Amino acid sequence: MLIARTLVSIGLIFSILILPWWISAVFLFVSLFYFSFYIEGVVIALVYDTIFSVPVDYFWNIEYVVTAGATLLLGFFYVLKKRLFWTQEW
Amino acid sequence: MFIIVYIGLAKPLAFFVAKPTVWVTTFVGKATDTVGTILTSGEQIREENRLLQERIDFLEKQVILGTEQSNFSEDADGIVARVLVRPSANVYGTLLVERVGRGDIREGDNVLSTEGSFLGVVESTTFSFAKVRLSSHPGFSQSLSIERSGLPITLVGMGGGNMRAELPQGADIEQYDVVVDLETQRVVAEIGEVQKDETQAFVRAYARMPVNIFEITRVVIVPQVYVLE
Repeated sequence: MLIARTLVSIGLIFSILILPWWISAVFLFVSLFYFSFYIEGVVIALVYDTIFSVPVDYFWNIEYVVTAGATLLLGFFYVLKKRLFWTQEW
Repeated sequence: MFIIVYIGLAKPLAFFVAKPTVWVTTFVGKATDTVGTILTSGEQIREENRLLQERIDFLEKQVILGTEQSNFSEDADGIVARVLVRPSANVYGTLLVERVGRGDIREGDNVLSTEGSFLGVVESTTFSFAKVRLSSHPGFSQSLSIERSGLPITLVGMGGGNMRAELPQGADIEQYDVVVDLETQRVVAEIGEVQKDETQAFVRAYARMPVNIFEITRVVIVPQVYVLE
């Protein structure tokens, strides 16, 4: 699982630089759901925001929208999976 | 006696004093000349290097922009930058560009296409890289004018190279009108669609950037006050 996490993280880093943003977004979403507490996803989102972000009017002029979104999703999936599966692994 | 001694010693004494004096004077003179020559040639070499570097920068700019499609004259002070990441690759709709050649990019500098139309402003810089906020960035507002009628218009970015504006009913605006910044005479957008509804107080106009931002490979960065000739 560790190798898979590492490979996915490397793939995500490349995808944010090369692929259209929505493909990276789907990739990140699935990774956050699939892996247990995928904190690397938040770190990659932070890297993404550091490279590309500018304050967005629609989001109260905050710069780190993707990081905030990834953090919320991480927490949401963590709680959701605990309630759905009740297993230690999740 | 004194005279005899003086005459006898005068020659060796003079030789003893004069020789080192002449030798030192000659040495200092030569050394000064050499240092002067080195400094002068150093200055010349630096000047030559500067001129050659300018020439290289200019030729690079010509090669990159393509002289036939560029609106920039030889002495234009624009900095050419290559686009590393296009707006399609990021949700913020920003361009990530890298400076080519020399020159300083500052926050707030204007970013133009190679044809000279306005694309956006530099948001931040890191080393030779710059993050560019496009004029179509969501919420980015600009006060401009319609070129044909001189009608003032405020374009608000919608993302993806698109902008919108609301004008009073009856405003003189049509499809394909060109929107310019009167101060700098730069083309900013082209009106793509005008929605006129008699029951509404406002006319809604949609504009698009004059270049395809998803295909753009080079941009020119100019100081904020730069005006095209």
